[in-house]
Amino acid sequence: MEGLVLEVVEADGRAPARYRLEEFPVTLGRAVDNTVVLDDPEVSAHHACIERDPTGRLVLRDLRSANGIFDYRTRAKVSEVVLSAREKLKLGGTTLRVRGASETLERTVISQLVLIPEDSVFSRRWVFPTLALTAAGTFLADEYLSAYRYPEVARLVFEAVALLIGVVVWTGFWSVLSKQLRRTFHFFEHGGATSAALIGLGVGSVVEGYVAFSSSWPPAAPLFDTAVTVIVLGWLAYKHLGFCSAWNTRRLKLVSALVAVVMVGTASLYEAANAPRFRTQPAFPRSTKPPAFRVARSQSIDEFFDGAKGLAKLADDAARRD
Amino acid sequence: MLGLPSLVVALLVAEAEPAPPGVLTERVFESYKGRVAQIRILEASSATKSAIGSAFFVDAEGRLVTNYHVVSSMVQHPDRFTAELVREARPAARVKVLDIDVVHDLALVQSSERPDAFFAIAPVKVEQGTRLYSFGNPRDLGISIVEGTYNGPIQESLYERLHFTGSINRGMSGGPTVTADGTVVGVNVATGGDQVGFLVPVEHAVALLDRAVSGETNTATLLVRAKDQLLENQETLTADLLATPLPAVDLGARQAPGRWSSALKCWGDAGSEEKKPYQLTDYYCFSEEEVYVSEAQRTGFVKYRHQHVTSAELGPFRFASLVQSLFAESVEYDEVEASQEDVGEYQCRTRFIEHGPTRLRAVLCLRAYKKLPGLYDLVLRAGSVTSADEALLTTLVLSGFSSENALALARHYLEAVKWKD
Repeated sequence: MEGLVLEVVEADGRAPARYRLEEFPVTLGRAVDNTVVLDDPEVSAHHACIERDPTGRLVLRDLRSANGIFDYRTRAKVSEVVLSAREKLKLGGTTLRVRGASETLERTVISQLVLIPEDSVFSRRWVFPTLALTAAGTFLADEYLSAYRYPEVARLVFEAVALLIGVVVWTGFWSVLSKQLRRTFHFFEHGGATSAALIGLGVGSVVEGYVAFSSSWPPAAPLFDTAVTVIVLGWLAYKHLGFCSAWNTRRLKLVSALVAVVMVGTASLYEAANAPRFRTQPAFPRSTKPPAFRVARSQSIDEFFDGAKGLAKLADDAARRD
Repeated sequence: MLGLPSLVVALLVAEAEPAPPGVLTERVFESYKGRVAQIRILEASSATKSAIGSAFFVDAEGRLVTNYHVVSSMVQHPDRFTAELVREARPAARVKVLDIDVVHDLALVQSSERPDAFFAIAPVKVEQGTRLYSFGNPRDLGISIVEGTYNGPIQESLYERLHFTGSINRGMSGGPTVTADGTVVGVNVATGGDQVGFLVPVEHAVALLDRAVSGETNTATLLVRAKDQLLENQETLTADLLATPLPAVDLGARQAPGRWSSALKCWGDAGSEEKKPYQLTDYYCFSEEEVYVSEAQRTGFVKYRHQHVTSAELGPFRFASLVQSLFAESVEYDEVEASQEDVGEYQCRTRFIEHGPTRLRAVLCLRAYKKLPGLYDLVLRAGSVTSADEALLTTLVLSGFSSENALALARHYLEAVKWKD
């Protein structure tokens, strides 16, 4: 062993003091003239020394101290011990650990503390109420535009109020969690994020109807819907968890993505499990929108029925399949 | 002294008058009840009754005529069902299906027992109003007789049926309806309720019997015969429809197919009294008769429906929502009775279509029959997408056609959906 590093190890495993030793002999003790000064009342003034023996090994030797040296491994009091890496010894009340001088260091642990930026949009007091009212407004607008009978105003108002109450209850739940874990409610932040997510989902479902209408590709709308839901839920989970945990950004992103995917996946599984095993009705996108939103190219009747010739084969395959 | 001559006179009068109806019915029943029997369909593994119907002997060899729908489970699952013939005071006899006419809902079966007497069937012509007697075993209550009158062939029908005014009840299917002198006029097949009964004209039973007697050997299984008969039937239907000019019905500024054939019944309906911000007109046509294939499946029919809607109040977005709900609904309407055992799922294709000034969003769906390969159900749904205050939605359902014929008919139909010039 060329040189060594001696660590003073605390009960929790952390090593607040390290000594790099290259020239021997060195002495250890409570007196300030030692090479390694140990501030421990149970350690003698000149407690021990480390020397090279004739074969070049480093040996720790007791200098007739009051409390002696204990080997952690054998739990025995020793007068001298040959040092090797990872060896743990007790001098008085102090635990020492030996490391080789060339031992590789562990990677730096990234700080667990994520600071909530003071200028987060959601920290501003007016953002939550504005977004919550916008969410309710979006809901009302969608209800109105999709109602072709005379609208029932009382029911709409009731539903909008119920929506707002729901937002407040949800926000309250996350705020209490924040208070428990981070000692701050972050009420406005949670509320703003919840409202923004609701607006996202609402706008997404309206746009999905237009996607279903304008494209002639049947999976377009369900794919769009899944993507929007995963993104919005993932974003909301990121915000909520960010305001009530001390996780670093990488872990936050990972967990949020996982939460969103698991939620949407579970919902799809539930839907698939409850879907009729056999449908006697045709399944097709049943969305229609104002003519201006048509994107897909129109076909002539000839093209339409030419393309439909393949349907018989698809139908035959389906009949064989199920 | 006065008593005796008056009694004689009374007797003479009684002799000169025809027998009262009740007495005649008794006589008809006594004369022919022995020619009618009950057919019981048994589930082979448990030997329990799964269906009952009636049948009647048509020759000395023990052949009987009944309805296809009575014995359909034996045709669909020959390994799972058997049948027996039950006659009063006789042991049950084994029964085997010889041939079927699925389109006219008839079957010819062979009994292991010979009859004492049988109905010699032949084509017959009967005047409307003739008194007829229907035999059968309603609801497993024993062979019964029902009196009624002949009211001629049904007009406006895809499949020939005779109208018999009398109660044909469950279990009487397959029994004969005869004149007082025992001439078979038709085979009991269905009831319309309220004394409206339907018979299959006897000539189809005659054809079925002739085919069997002439020894025309048909090695195809009964299911294959059913498929061939249905394919032939849809060829005729398609040829008839395509040869008929398709009349147009005006719906606002749009035109759509009107009554395509005399076999279709068409109705219109223009909204209800409820105040709504739009006006909806409904027009629908359908063929009342369908072909029974199995307990879960019917086929061989045509129906279509148009919905025309206008609104000056709603504005483009709310009007689009209305059109969307109409386009999405009518769950009942596009459903054609069938189970997973009979058909595959619908395969659909959605496109925008443009012909002349007409702009449509159209969905075409086909599903294939599993046990009757070559036959399909088609659903065509189209909605106009040009106007923000007027829309036409239309749905065509064709059941039991070849894919070529179904597509040809659908195309003919779609071409008739257009904007008025």
